[in-house]
Amino acid sequence: MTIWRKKTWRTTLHAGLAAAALAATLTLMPQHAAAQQETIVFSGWGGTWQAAEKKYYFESFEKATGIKVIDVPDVNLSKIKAMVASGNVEWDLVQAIGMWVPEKPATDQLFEALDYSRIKTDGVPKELIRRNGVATATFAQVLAYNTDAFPKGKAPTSWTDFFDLKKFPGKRGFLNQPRYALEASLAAEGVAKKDLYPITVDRALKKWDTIKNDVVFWEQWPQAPGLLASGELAMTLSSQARIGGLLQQEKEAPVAFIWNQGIMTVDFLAIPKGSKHKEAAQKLIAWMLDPARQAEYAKATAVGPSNTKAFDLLDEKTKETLPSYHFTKDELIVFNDLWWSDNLDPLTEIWNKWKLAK
Amino acid sequence: MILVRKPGPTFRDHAGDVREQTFDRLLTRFGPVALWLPGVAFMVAFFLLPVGWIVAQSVLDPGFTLKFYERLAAAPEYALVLWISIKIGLISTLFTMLAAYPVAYLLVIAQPTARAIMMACILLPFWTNILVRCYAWMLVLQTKGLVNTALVDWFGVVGSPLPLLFNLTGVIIGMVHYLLPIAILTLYAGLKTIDLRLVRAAQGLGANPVRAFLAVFLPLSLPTLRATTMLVFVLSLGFYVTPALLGGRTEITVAMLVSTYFSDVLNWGFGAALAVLLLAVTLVGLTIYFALERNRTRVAA
Amino acid sequence: MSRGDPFAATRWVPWVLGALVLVFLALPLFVVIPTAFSASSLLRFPPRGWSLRWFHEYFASDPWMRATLVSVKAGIAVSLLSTLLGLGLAITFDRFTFRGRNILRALVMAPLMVPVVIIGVGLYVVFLRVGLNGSFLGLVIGHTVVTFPYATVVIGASLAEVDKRLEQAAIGLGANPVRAFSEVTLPLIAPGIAISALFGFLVSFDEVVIAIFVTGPQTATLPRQIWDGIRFDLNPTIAAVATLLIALSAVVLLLGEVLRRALRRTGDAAA
Repeated sequence: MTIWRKKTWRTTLHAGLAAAALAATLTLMPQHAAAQQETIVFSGWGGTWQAAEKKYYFESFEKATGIKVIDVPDVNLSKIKAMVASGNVEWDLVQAIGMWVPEKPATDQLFEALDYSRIKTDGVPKELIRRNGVATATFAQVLAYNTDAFPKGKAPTSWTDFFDLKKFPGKRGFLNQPRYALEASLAAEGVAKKDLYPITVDRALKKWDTIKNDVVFWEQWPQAPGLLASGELAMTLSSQARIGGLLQQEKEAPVAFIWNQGIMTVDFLAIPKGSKHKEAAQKLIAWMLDPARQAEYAKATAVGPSNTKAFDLLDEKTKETLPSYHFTKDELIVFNDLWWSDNLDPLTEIWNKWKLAK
Repeated sequence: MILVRKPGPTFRDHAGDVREQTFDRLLTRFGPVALWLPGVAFMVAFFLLPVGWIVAQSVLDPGFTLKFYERLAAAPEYALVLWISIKIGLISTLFTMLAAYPVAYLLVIAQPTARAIMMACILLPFWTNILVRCYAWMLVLQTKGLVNTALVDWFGVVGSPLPLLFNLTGVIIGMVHYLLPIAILTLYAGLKTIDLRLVRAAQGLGANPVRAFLAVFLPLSLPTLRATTMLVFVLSLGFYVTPALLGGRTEITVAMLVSTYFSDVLNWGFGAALAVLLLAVTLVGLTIYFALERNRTRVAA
Repeated sequence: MSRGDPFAATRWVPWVLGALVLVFLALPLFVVIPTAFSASSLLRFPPRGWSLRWFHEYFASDPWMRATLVSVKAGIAVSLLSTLLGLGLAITFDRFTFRGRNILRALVMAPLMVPVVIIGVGLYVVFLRVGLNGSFLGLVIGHTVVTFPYATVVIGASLAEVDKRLEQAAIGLGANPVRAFSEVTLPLIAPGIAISALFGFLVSFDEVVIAIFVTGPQTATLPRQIWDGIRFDLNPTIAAVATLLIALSAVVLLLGEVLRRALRRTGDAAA
């Protein structure tokens, strides 16, 4: 019995040590060489847009200044808030949607105030320069439709057509959020652009009641083009760049969109509060506002530049594809992210309440 | 926490050297602690602490406040959303368990080769990320998707396409698909431990296969069945990707709202309050369930 | 028993049910696998055009390869850790009674009930304070938090099926508790332990929300890589990844079968 006990104890001990050794080996990651150059971390939306940012902004920035840019594709407001709360800020520059950087005192708690003596902003419209962020790109959320359902001549021309199930039968799609939805329905009611804000929520929701049961509220942007192309939806909200991207890859895809009454949103560059590389981040911001570089980026991605001087460097055909161009033609509704940053919280509740009502 | 050993024959120390005796004494003294301490310590450090901090946000703004809970109580929609979450959970659990039990049973009685093949099929969904699965289900369930094309065009079983997506049906299908492998494997783990000789003995005594199953195997499998059902139900309450992507206007769960208030609206206080609501309801439910279970075992013994 | 057996028909009932369930489980894969070979950049079915470029993109890409490696390593570590923790807790719940036992049991399930985003944010804040953010250890810890409840339940289910009298008999015959447990009960709950180890790996391998928060660029996992891609674009690379994993698991299982048969033959020869 003594021999047995010794054996099991030893076997167990060996097994335990082996397991511990395995766990330890797995936990040790190879060390990468300590960086001799300054490194800043940029956090953006990922995908082809960020790949283009790397190509047209970050690589040339590193060549010119010696500062290395590590870009991560997972910008996330929760993470920023957590970082700032903990005092350990991992990101030095982020691409923020307009709603994250409204000109309010609360924004100072999350993002640094920018020093515009270091950042040249001529060419950028005054409305797109804020205390804690400066615009870098413009997007348009548009009405997209299936061309098999609505061929040329029968195509929709405005949001009013989106809400007209009789003349334009078929399922609708929209983002599962109150924003853009309220603007679209008020525009469909004929409310003029300058009178849109502050939004009369009741009136906007009443319009949605008329098509309530024929709408698919999709959760993620990539869902929309697919559902539209397969015919599951006849009309949907979508971002203009995605529809353009789909048509670039599949020229016969039965999809199209209209610029009229598209909702324009703006992305800003902002520095999380407490970043250890504020100077370098500001240099990168200035770098990304350069008209020539913005023009190259716009040509590659159909994302609108924030610096109007970039238009002078683009031909008409390319300009047609850019939201900011159509903004200058007064075709677009400008999304008022300041109003939304104040009202998103209560409106989320109202929106869910509306959705649940039979 | 005082640990009391359940009654039973105790170990008697007879021959053996001093080393054995110390080992045994150490074992009796520290054995139990070594069992639960790592798990509990881990939970305290890496679950209770982080989640506790977040939960604290539900009453801080920054000073102590009950406004988030007042808001929660003020609107009846949140009670409705809680009910919807529980409803979706119950339906998913029901279908999952109905489908999982036969498969788990098959795994137990099958030959090793057949079992290996079945295991491969059961594990298949795990290799596809939840997002990929949801998008795949979209392609399968939409009006011109795989299922409807088969039913309407190929087999002519139905006249017009079935609404399988962006409604409760879609959500249940997606959730059951995710929960099934977990349910099957958990059931299998318990069912495999059952002594099949008891079933064969019953058959040897003259019972037909169905009777032997119903009278012997099924009752023996009840503890596993209960544990698995509980696990599946608890999991189903936490889903938010599947209802969000496959559900319709009225499929809103508490987990979805928490995600929205946390990540989009950045109202951590209210998001935490919602989570506390869900957690409180489930914890109470589970504690009662465990208490009932304990009584049942005691009575049986 | 078999001739004129009126219940012969019922024997195939579980098999038919089982087959239906397995077809259901495999259904999405009929869409995912063809998409991996499609030329189009959008998840559409049936795919338009055929191409292997998504597989090329996967193998040629540093981030994807690194993410795969991280996911596998993390999966194994999480599997070990959560099984160990779960084993201890399951035995405690099975063998001992104490005040607050039911509450503790419910609390152990809590990580599965709290919305994952809360666990993610909470862990992130804590990790930021102690410097574990973006680290491999942090990832393993984060995933173990949501996998050890599975281990507790699965091993617990197995333990509940074991006849306690077997172990008590062993103790009565003079064995100490550890020996009785390891020689009698442990082999019986081997399925439970194996399944819980499997869950630990699979859940960690598939987990995305906690990974989003606690991983950094060097420790990104495969699901995180997929999520980052999907957030923006529906790129069939993710379908290619899924197809590769399925193929890999099929190969592993095939090898396991071959090995098992080979061992059995040698086992028979030895016996």
